[in-house]
Formats: sequence, C-alpha cells, structure tokens
Amino acid sequence: MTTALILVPIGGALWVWITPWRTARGPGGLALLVALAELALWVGTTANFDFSSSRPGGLQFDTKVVWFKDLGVSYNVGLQDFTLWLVGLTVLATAAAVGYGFWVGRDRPAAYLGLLLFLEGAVVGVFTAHDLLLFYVFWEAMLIPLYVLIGVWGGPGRLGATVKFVVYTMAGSLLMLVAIIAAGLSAGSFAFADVGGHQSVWIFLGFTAAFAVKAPLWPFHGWLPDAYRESTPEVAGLLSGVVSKAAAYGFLAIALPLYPGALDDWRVPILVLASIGLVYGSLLAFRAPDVRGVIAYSSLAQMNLIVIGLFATNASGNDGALLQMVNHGLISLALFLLAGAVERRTATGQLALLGGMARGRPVLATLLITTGVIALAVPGSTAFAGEFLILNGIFTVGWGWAVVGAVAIVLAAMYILRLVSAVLHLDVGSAVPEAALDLRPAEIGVIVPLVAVLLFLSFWPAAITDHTRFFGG
Amino acid sequence: MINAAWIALFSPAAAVVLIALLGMRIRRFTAGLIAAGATLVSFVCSVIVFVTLLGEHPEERTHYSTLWTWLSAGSFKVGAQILVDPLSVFMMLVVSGVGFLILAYAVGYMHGDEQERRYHAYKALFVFSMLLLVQSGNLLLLLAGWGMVGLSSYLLINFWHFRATAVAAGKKAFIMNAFGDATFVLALFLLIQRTGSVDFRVVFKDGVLPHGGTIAVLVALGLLGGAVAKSAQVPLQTWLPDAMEGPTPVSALIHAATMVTAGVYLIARTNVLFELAPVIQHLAGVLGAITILLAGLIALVQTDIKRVIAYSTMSQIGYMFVGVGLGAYGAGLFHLMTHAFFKALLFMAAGIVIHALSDEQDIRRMGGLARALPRTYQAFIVGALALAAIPPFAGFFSKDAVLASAANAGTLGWILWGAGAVGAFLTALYTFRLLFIVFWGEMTPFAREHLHVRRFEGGLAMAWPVAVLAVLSTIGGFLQVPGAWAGVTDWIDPVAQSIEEASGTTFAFSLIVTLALSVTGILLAWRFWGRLSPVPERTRRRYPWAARTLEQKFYFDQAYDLVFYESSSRAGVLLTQYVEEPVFLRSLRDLGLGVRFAAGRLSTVQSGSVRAYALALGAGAAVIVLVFLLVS
Repeated sequence: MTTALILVPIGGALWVWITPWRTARGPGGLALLVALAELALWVGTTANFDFSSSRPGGLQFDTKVVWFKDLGVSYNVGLQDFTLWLVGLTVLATAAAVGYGFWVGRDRPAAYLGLLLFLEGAVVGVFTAHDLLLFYVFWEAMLIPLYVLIGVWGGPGRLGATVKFVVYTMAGSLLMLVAIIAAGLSAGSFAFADVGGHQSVWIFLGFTAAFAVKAPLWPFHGWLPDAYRESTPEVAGLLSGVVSKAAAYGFLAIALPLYPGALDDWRVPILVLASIGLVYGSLLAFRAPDVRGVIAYSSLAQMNLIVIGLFATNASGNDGALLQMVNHGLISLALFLLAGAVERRTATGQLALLGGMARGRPVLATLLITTGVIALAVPGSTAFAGEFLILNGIFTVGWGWAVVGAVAIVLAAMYILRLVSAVLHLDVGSAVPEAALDLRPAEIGVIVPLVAVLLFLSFWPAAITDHTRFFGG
Repeated sequence: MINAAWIALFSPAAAVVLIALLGMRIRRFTAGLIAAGATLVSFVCSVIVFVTLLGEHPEERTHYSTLWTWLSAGSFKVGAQILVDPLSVFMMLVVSGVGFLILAYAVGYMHGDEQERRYHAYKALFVFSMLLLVQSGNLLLLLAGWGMVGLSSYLLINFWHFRATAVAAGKKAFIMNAFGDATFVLALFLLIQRTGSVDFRVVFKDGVLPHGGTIAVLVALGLLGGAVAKSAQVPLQTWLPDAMEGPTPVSALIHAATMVTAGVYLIARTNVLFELAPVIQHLAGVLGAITILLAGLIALVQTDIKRVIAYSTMSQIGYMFVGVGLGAYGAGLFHLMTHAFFKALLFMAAGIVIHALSDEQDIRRMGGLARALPRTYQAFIVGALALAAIPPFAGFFSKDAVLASAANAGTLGWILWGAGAVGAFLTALYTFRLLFIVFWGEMTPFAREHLHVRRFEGGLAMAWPVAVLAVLSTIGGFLQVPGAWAGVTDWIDPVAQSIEEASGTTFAFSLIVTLALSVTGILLAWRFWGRLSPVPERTRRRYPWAARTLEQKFYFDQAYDLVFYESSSRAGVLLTQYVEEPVFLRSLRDLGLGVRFAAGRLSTVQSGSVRAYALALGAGAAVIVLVFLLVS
C-alpha cells in the first residue's frame, strides 16, 4: 500500500511524459486523474489504518526488501499515524496544484505536470522511508523537479532564484549525507530502528543542517523570498506548503528521536534561532511590499513556530507542530493560489497597486478572508488549535518562549489584516481592471477543497491530534 | 433541556452556512429573516432552558454536556463542551433576546444595502460566537468564542470596506483584541501547567492554586488583560469609539449590548480565580473607575452622535468592572443586563435619526428633531433617563446596586464609589447634552434640507424593536429592588457568590448622593445646551489645553501608534533594509560574483600557449618532488 502511494505518482509522471500527446488537454487530464487516484488511494489507506493499535514508531502497511546486504541498506517503507497526515497533506495539495496548473495552461504541460507528480512521489517517499539511505534518495529526488519547475517555468528572476535554492539546499543535503553515512556505517545498518541512540552531536548537526535549510530555520532562509516570488503560484504553494514539511518531518522522525543527547545540548540555540525567525518573519511580512512577500515571510515565521513546537519534545508541542504542519500546508497553498488569481487579473502583486477587489467579487473575497483569518490563527480556528498546543508545549520548557510566541500572535493579526485589506478593501487599485472577473469555477474547484478541509479541522482539530500518538500518549 | 442549549448554540451557525451557500439565490430580505429567525430560535431555546432551571433546586442548576473531543494532546483533552448554569443562561437570554431585537431592526436598517446578505451572515456569525463564549464549559472554547466575537466585530466594523476609516478601525479593534487574546492564552498555559486542564470543574476546584501567590496573580492578570481589551477599558479602550464606523445595529449589538460586556462575564465566570488574587480583582475595579471618569470626560466634547454613546458604553462597563472587581457579581451582571436594554435602545434611536438625516452623524448639523421624530424622541428620552440613572428607569436600580455595594467595601470601595458618583454626574451631563443638541432648539439648515421621515419613523421593522426595548428599559430595573427582592443576585449566587452587598444606611446615602448628582447633571446640561448658552464655548476658549486634551482623547491613540504600530513598522522596514537585503538576499549573489570574478581571472591561465602549459607542468612536478623529498 505504501509502495503504491509512492509509485502511483511516479509511474503517472512517466506515463504523462512518454505519451505522445496530440491534444493540449490530454496531459492535464491524465495528470489530474493520477493525482485524484493517489488521493483516493490515501483515503482508502486511512480508512484501513489501525489507529488504536499503533504504538509509537509502529509501522503499518510496511514493506522491507534488502537492497545492499553488506551495508545494511534496505528498501523499507511504511506509514505511521503522524506520517499518514503528512502524506494526506501532500496528496491533497498536489491534486490542487495539478488541477490549477492544468487550468492555467502552462507551457509544455506534459513536462510540467509530470514534474509535479514526480515531486509528489518523492515527497511521499520522504515521509514513508524508514531507511536513512532511502530517505536520502527521496530527499534528493525532491530537488530535481523543483530545480526544473522553478528554473524553467518561473518568473523573470527565475535563474537567480534557482541557483540560490540549489546552492543552499545542496549545502545542507551534503552535510546530511555525511551524517547518514557516518550513522549508518557505525551502526552497521541504515534502518531508522537501528541507528541513533548514541550521543553523536556531529551526526545530529548534519541532519539539522539539511532540515534547517529546507524548513527554513532562521537564518538559513536566504533562498526563500526569491524562490517563493519567482515560482508559479502552485509550485510556490507546494514548496512552502509541502516540501518545507519534509524538513519538519525530518526533525520529528530523525533528528529528535534518534539523538536525544545532542538534542538536549542544542535545544536552546535552536529555540533561540526559531524564536528570532518567528518574530523576524512576522515583522518582514508586515512590511513586505507585495502579496507573495507577505505569504513568503509569514511562511518563514510559521515554519519557525513549528520548529519551536518540535523542540518542545512533549506531547503538546509535537501534536501542535503536526497539526500546524497540516494547517500551514493548506493555508500556504491556498494563499499562493489566491495570490496567483490576483496576479492573473492585475498583472502585479504589488500591494500599492491593488485594492478594492472585494467589490463584485464575492467568492474571491470570501475565500481570501476565510483563509486569512485562519492563517492569523483566530481563536477557534484549526491554526489556533495548532499554535495553542505548540506554545502550551513550549511553555512547560520555558515560559519565555511562549511569550515570544504570544507576541507573534499579535504580529500575525497585523500582517494578515494588512494583506487582506490591501487586496480587497479601500479604493480600487490602479492595477485592478474594472472587468477583472471573480474566481472562475476551476479556481474555486481547487481552492475550496483546501479551505473546506481547514474549516473541517477547525470544527474538529482532534481529528488529527486524537489520531496521533507521540511519546506513547 | 441540554438539547435546547445545543440548538440555541448552533442555530445561528446554521444560519451563517445557509446564507453563505444560498448566496445570490435568495433575496436580501430573506437573508435577514434567516438570521433573525435563527436568533429567535436561540432565544426560545434559552427561555426553555431557563424555565427548566427554575424548576430545579438552586444547588443543582449546573449541567455539563460534551459532544465530541475538540482538541487533544497526550492526556490533555478539551471537549466541545457546554455548560448550562444560572450564569450562562442569564447571558444566553440577554444575548439572544437583545440580539433578536437588533437583528430584526437591522432587517429594516440595512434594507437596500447591496451587501445586505453578507451583513446578515456576519451578524448571525456574531450571535453564534457570543453564545459559544457564554455557553462554553471550558476556558479554551470560551477563548474560541472570545476570538470569534472579535472576528465578527472586525468583519462588521469593516463592513463598508471602501471607507479608509472603517478599514483602519476594524484593524485596530482586531489587533487590540489580539493583544488581549495573547495575555488570555498565556494565563491558560499557566493554568494548564498547574492543573493539566482548562475544564471549569477542574480549574475552579478549591486549592488548585495557592491563594495570593504569584501564579494566581499571573493567571488573573492574563485573564484581566483579555477582559480589558474586549470590554474597552483603560488602557486598551481606544478601539471602541473608532468601531462606530460599522453600521448602527452593529454598534448596538456588538459594541454596546453584548460583546463589550464579555469582560464582565469573564470575571464573573472565573470569579474563583480572581478571588485567589485579590490584588488583580481590585485592579479590575480600579481600571473600571478610571474608565468611568476618562470616558465621561471625553464624551463631553464629542460631536458624533454614535461616539458619544460609545463613550457612555465604556463608562457604563466601567461600572460593571467596579462591581465585579469588588466581588459584587450580581450587581455587575444586573447592570450588564439593564445596560444592554437601554444602550441598544439609544443606539437604535440614534440609528433612526441618522437614517432620517441621510446618514449624517455630526450633532452640530442636527437640532430641533423632537418635532420631526416625536416617537424616536420619546424612545431616546427613555434611554437617556435610564442611562442617567433616574428612577424608575432600569439604569437607576442597577447602577445604584453597583455603587451601594462599592460603598460597602472598605476604603478602596469608597474611592471607587467616589469615581462612580462623579461618573454619574458626568453621565447625566453628556447624555442630556446629546439629547438637547439633537432634539431641542432650532433645526439647522442642513437638517431641514436632508430630513426625510418614513412611516413609523424609520419603518415598522425598525420601530417595533425600539418600542420593545423602551419598555424593557423602563421596567427592567424592577428585577432587583433594594430592600424588597434581589432577582439577579439571587439567581447568580450559586455560580458567583457576591462578596459585597448593599446594606441599609450606606445604601440610602449612596442612593441619595448619586441621584442628586445625576439630577444636577441633567439640570446643568439643560442650562448649557437646553437653551443657547455661551458658557460651554467660553469655557472651551478659556481652557484650550483642556479641550484639546479631551478632543485628543488623552493622547492614547498617538502613544499607541508610536509604541506599537510605528515600532513594528519601523522594525520591519529596518530589518528589510539592513539585514534581509544585504545579508540574506545579496550575500549569495556577491559570493557568486566573487566566484565568477575568480574564475575569470583563473581562466586567463588557459591561454592555449603550449610553452606556458609546459612551464606550469614542470613547476608543479618540481613542487611535488620537493614536497615528497621533504616529507620522506
């Protein structure tokens, strides 16, 4: 089952690539079908998942095939309760992204949509691999489609953005590779279950480097603003919504549980960085001149908040971080797609040129406001539930961290309301044509499911937290 | 009975979903009917719950009900849980009852606005959120309702979002409330750390927090931060007057009758926690007293009809804070109820005036409207007399219940009583200033030109809720008559046992003094504004600094702009300019340029000249040989 979750999108990607398409709509239709099939597969998996018996670290639907016997490497994949939710986020987000890319009509659709599917397979692989070397293979496999997606289909500054993204990510990845080799060789096996446990600070830091860049943890975010601004909206959404979660997952599944000794030494420095990142990202989001800038820096702030929750290393912090990963993934993708919708209509993302778009566009206004208020974690929303658990978890570690988080609650209200007002309210912006339409059915079709899941989770955030066990809770 | 409580809660939520899904398929009027109808359902259910509770023994009137687990983490679980007890039912009745009247009024008031459906949906969302706030059985869901009333308030202040002032006012209200939410959240973390729960039954248990200890103080302080922000008390009061940018029914419902009194409810609900930290509870009373005076003074110079009423709201909530701050919960909640009646009445009467004058709100352009709008004038008089605490109107009984309790509460009580007594004078003064300027005298040319009066002065839909509220403002005070019976206090006592209650002599003293002050205030207002008098203008000219300070609202706005908004904004700009751009965004590019530069230089080596290559080869070999010899 888990292998199918990995292979369906990758196989789908190959199928989309090699078919000699005659119609322009063919590749889009097939890619969307594959993405929806993957979503259905996930729903089926979840329905069959046994939440009651899942012990911490217990794998379900797992497969283990020996790969390099003498090195102790194997193809070992499986699902845990919390990875199930991350895979769910991935398949839902990819389906929305593929649908959006199909509707917009990107150049060379077969190549483009195939890459999105390939990325999906790689991310699912990262979430489900339970062998370090296999994890690394999938981790690097994520980079390839992203490299092409940003570098070929991106905006005018795409080359600089791509180079930055690749240099940053490669630097982190190589350190992780060294750590993986060291960990695997010293343990005689690369299986998650076998490595770790001892006090190697350097191995911990090697992993942390890769995850810190990808998340990104402040100050390793230099690639982020350009990558999020230059990509197409759906790629930016996947990058911030889904790919960044692979890094948070890395902390959660590898760095934290396997190296508890190093964690104790490095908890405070990392919490300091994450706290700075939270406030820093929020302040920059508050002053960013464009729609994507606000979303990008708010994303930075949110990921640092998630890292804070992870490094609380208690049930509340980790449950909150997991919930917030799913929340932020959906929020971020929805916001980027809405930003794309605005940019298509006005040919700009500059806030100074926008405004007044709510009038006559009730669907756009409703979706942007709904996503926005969830993003700013209004009490009662699922993002609030996530932030509450994260800060509650870190409060027991040290109340000062929670105070920083509480400051960020206020800042989030400030930057999100600024964004919402600058796009929707006040006088009609100079770049907003009178004839600009409300959201089209296809746009509604891809954004509404994301928002609907967020509303459902606001009604019942325990759907995730009650079906996840950290620390044997 | 518990089912009725759940229906009361979810009926307005269903209305929101219905209006949103039906969208343009229904007429605007129908959307209004759905919202008002859903609120009526809530009110009927609240009455059913109330009657059921009446039939039970006072000690057994507490019922918890949980439908599902809302949030969990490890052993920490929070249920989607409601509580039915005398306090929550009291609030349900006020919220859904007054809420229904105002929603019905709004169907008339908003008639013809092109965004009417959105308006009614927001209004229903507000009623749902407010009911969640008062019905919740734990502090986390209470906070959820708390945040969502703030959200609905934002959406409604912001409703006419093409006005820059409305957008700014909405943001300000939301952000100041977010600040209150933040301190509230921190208090919850502390409670969870100590008790492992947010359930009322656990956190209110005796002995979970040490009396008077730092923990108890911090918890109460965090809750007070939330209460002060939501109830627009000093020092987080500046958002409320600006919130008058919203449509008038919104001001009546959210910014007068219900939401802004949530802070009073919170203190009464968590009275156990506040009594563990008497310092903070008294602080609530002190802040209330300061707000009474501050708002009363500012109201004297306001020229916008709704802002005058808004400042009176702040000062009346100040009385409620004095009440609950001194432990007179029954008196504070009694004033909450009567205030909901007469303040909603005043706002709705003001709304009719504003409509009749083509949306004009400046009282300097009004005058002489008593003849044109006689019924509105009568309703306004009822509201004004109730607000000024003149017997037998509702405000008289409740305000005096608060002040008499304060007079009984030692030295601090007397100080707060003094502020309240001065406040009573100010209240009468500014209220009747408003009444005389708007309704007496000669019509201004503007008023003559723009006046258009509809049938029933605003249409039947707007007239009848006003009439009902006028009746309630007249007779509502008899729920609690000193010396005879104490309906509200007795009802609330099982939940929030009042510490202070009025007794004979202090009560009589307090009553006579404050009544005399109120009457003086009215007479003075008549002397100054009832007939044309040069005194106010002369005073203003003689003390320009005082007038300026009041008109600038004691400079709170400017100070907060500087401290909070400007500092964040400046920090954001500076970080972008001096950290983000040079360090993070350009560093890699510069590194890249450096590499390219170095590569450029290095590439000259590849000149194609065989002699140069041979030289390099030979030199390299020589170095290797040399190193090899040295090492070995």
